[in-house]
Amino acid sequence: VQHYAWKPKKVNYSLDEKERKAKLTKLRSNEYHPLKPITVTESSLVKISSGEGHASNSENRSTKSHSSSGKDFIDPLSMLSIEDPLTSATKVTKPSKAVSVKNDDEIKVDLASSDASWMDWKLEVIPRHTTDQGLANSMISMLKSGKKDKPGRNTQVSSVSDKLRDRLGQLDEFSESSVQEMLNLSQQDFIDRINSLNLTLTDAWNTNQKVKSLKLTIQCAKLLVDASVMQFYPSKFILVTDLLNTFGSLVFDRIFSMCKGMDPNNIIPEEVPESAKEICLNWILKIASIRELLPRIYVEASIVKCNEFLKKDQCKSNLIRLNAMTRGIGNPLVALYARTYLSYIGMKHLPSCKGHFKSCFYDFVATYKQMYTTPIQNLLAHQKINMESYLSFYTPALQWILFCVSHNAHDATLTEVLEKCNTCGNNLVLFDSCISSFSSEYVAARALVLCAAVSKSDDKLYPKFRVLKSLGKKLIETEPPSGDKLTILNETWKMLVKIRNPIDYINCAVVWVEYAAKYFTHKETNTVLADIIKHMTPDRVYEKFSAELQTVVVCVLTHMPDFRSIFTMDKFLSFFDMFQKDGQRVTVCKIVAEYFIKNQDETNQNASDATTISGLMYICRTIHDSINALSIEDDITSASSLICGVLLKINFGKDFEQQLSFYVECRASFSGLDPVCATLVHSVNQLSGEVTKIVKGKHTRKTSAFVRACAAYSFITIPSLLDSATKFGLYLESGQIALISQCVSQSDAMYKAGLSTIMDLVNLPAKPSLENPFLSHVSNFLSSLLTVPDNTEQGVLFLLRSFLNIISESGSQIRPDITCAIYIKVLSLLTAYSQDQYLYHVYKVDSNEDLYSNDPKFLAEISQISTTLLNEVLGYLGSDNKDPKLQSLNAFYLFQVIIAHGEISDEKMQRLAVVVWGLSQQHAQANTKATIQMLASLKKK
Amino acid sequence: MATIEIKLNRPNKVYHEGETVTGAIIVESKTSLAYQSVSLIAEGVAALTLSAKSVGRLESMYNSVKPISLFGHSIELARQGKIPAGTKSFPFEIPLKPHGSIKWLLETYRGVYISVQYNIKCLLKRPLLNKDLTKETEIYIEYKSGDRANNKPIKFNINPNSIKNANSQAEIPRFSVRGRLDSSVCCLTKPMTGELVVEASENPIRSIELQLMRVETVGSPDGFAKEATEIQNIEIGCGDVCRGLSIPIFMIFPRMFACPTVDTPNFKIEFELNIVIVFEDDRMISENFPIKLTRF
Repeated sequence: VQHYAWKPKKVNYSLDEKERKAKLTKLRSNEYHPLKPITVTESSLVKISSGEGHASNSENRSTKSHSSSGKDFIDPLSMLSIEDPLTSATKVTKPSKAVSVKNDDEIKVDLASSDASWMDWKLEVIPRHTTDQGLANSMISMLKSGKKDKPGRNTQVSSVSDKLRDRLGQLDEFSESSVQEMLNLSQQDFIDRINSLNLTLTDAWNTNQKVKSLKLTIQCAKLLVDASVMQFYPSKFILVTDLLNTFGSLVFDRIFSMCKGMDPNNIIPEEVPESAKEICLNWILKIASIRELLPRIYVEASIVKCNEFLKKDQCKSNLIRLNAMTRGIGNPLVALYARTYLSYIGMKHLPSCKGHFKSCFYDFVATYKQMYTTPIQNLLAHQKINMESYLSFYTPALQWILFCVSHNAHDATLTEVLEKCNTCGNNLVLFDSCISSFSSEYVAARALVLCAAVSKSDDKLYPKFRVLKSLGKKLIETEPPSGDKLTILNETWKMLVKIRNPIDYINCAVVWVEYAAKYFTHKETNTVLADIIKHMTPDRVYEKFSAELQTVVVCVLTHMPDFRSIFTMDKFLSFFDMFQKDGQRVTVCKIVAEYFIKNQDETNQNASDATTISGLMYICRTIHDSINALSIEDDITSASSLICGVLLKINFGKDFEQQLSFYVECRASFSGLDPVCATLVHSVNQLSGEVTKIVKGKHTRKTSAFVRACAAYSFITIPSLLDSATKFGLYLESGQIALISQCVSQSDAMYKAGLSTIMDLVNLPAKPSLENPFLSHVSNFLSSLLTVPDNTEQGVLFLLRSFLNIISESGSQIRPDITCAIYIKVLSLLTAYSQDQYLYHVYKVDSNEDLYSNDPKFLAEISQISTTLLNEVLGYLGSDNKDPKLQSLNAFYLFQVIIAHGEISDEKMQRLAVVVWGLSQQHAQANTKATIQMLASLKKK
Repeated sequence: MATIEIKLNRPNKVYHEGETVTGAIIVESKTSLAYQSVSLIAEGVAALTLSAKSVGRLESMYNSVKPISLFGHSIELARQGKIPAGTKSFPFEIPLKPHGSIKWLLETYRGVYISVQYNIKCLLKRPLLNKDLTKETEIYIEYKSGDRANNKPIKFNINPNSIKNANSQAEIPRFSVRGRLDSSVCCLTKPMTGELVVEASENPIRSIELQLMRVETVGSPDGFAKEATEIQNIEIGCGDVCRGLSIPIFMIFPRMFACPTVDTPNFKIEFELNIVIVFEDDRMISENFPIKLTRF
């Protein structure tokens, strides 16, 4: 192997500018490597210097790089923390959910499908009304009553032999046998049984056993007569009405199928064929002869639409009649549910006809007093049900009826209904249902009146808090008139304070906290929170209601956009004392942090006042303290991303010293979380850069002390990190920033510290198709070395030399091809060192070219190092036992460097280039495409 | 296998006196089918039975009253022929006119002791060794004109004092029910309506029922046999109904089991309505209203 000397090419960057620009535009995208980790600042420096080519105008450039590092400062870590994929996913799904809910609402408004709201209603009712008590009871009693009835009826002996009688007889038999089967059923069995009956019904219908299906239907409707297990009655009602609906549509569809080409919504009786009318009439007469009242009402209602085949508007008059018939039902609960079914049928088939809804309700009001009569009270006492829960069986039905009443109704109607409620005693349950069913606009407009009515009411049976809760919910939907708002809150809270039972209290308070938070300032909300604390503290009842208390916090967060006012409320943080279990408190803190980040993102503001910050710090500290050695990875990640997110949102504006001291405090608090420390270092670096930018590079004593403090901060913080790549990146970044801030010795120290960690990076896992991570870190390091002036005490190119020493001493730790690539890179750097004017500078910092001003000794030193390196490289390239592919790649790389940076006009260099070219081609492994490109560009020259 | 069917042109099979029943006999066969004749007999009969109660069991068995023929008509639609495989229809017409001595055709009615029925029977006679094919169908006769219902409401009050045949006045619990029937002359095709209010009741009520009764009177050489039986029972109140609330009385008259009130020399069909109040303790109070049913 021949001995070659390296001769660097002299470049006048400013002269070449135009030329370079023309060529580099193509390459720019390559040079700016977006995936270079933790080197965003650096790559932006490179980009600006090469792409925009402000080489000669160093002043301009450095400020530019500042601004870019200041503004577009996106470090991958904090980016991660802001856009945590999980939270962003939930962010995305939430709105879509909201949209779908909205759609539902629209459907609800759209009357064509009143079924949707019926479905909603059902879904609400079923889970609420269940019982684990066996239903066997009810069935037995039903059987008994069925038998008892008989002697009464049979007084007049009749030898009936006609067909209908037969059928009815069969029916009785049939139902009784099935009812017997239903003995000893649990709730689930009952549900299954009804479902299977539903199938049997359809089956029977399809196999032309119409009479059997009618019998089944009647039998099911009979089940509703029995209300002995009241807890289950609403659910039973829904199950049975489902079956009735199936039956109704079967009958209707059959008759309708006989009228060809008619619109189901506009049936013209005159055009219905006689045969269809005959069938229809038969059904109606058959059902009209059902002996028992309740099944008759239900089954008639289920096929009420069929009346349209016979006569126009018959459907409506029949509904009104059925409504009146419900007055004959003795049990008020059973009667009310029958009315509910009628309103549902009315809503489904005749939404335009409103009258009967109101009469449904008025009929109920008329029977309302019945509930307080002795027989019912005795029954309740016997079943050990208190009045409150008894009334709660009524509310779903009442709400549905009132929903029908209020649907598209005039305000006058609603007022009339309310006045009607006012006239009877113990009317809270009526109020509650009215409030929850009427439109929120209506309720909001009359909130004060309602509030007064509720507070005046002396109803001992129905708890006030339920009414208040419903009222609160409506008021949150729609804002009450501004004048009334405070009075309403005061009135309500007066009543709330009196609630003794903590469950009731907190359920209601949750709603009203939201009201307060939505419509008032922190002052009122604070009072409300204080009251909650007061109520929840005795006997540590709060332990049982952490979910509710959490909801309170969320309500406050949702409705108070300004975090300053949230933390101004002294009770907000004392509220946290009620979350005693660690897990809970952390969950709540995380929620607060999330809201804070989201909120600040939306408003694009930064928090700076002391109360907010101390509050947030408390929150963050709680989150931080929840992490321990046993925490799982995910918890740590989420905790740190939340803390980072919060920290990045705290900004004192121009008060840099306070910001720094804040960061110091943060470091003390969050030392346990590496990502947080890294973010802190990034932030401090940014701070320092910003200060330099503001003073336009001319530091006063004060500012220079500050930036030095920043550098010291970084220097102290970085060693505590565990991840070496982060550490090295931060050293590099801090070194660059220190240099920009003209703290040369600090920057030296940073680089030195960085060098001491560089060997930890050797074994970073490489990702396929990317540059070796170690190599990329090294090149990043090398390119920033160009700006670093030599420390006079340490000798020429001290940093570079110690770097080379580390590399050469590492022995087999580094793969030889990587060492070779590093050396080639250093060659380029040395070339850059040997220029008269460097490619880039740091403003106000003299680089080596000014220090040595082309001192021949300096140049000789460079030349010596480069020659040594060149020979090392050639030695590697010449050897045999390496991977030929990597070898030729490196040779090709060297060839590129020679062409770009070597003095080609020199004969020796030319020879060198030829040799290297030969080496690169000898294994025929090089990337042909790149080779061709290379040759083409050579030709151009 | 061949089937025979009578197809009437009116799906509801309801006819009036003086009208003509039109339709066709439809014979369906997979193979060709020889017949001797196809004939049709239509007849209307009022069948009367004496109740076992009024005339002893034995007598009622064989001493039954002769049925009264109201209407008869027979036609031969075809003689000796052969039907090719497939469907063949023989159209027919029957004028509805009463027998000589009968003034008008009574409405179709099915009761316990009296029934009025109109049947059409067709017969396809086939050669020796082959079974004849027959089919029977019923048509329903309704009046074309007749008495009209009126709108004279009847008010009623039921209380312990109004009860006549109680076992002992003292045991009757205190109660008071008032109400109104919209009319006592009711049209069959319209529901019976009215209202009822339980003003007070000492004992809890179990149910309030409407009981429609028929009162059939059959004349025989030994005199008249009068029997009241229940047609239908409709509950209008179940459970201990709310006091002071008006409960609607509503009942649809069943077809065939009710007809306009009939009064002939040989038999009578009359109707009554009972309002029955049953108390929890199985005590029962019943108020009777004779009603007249009309077609119009």
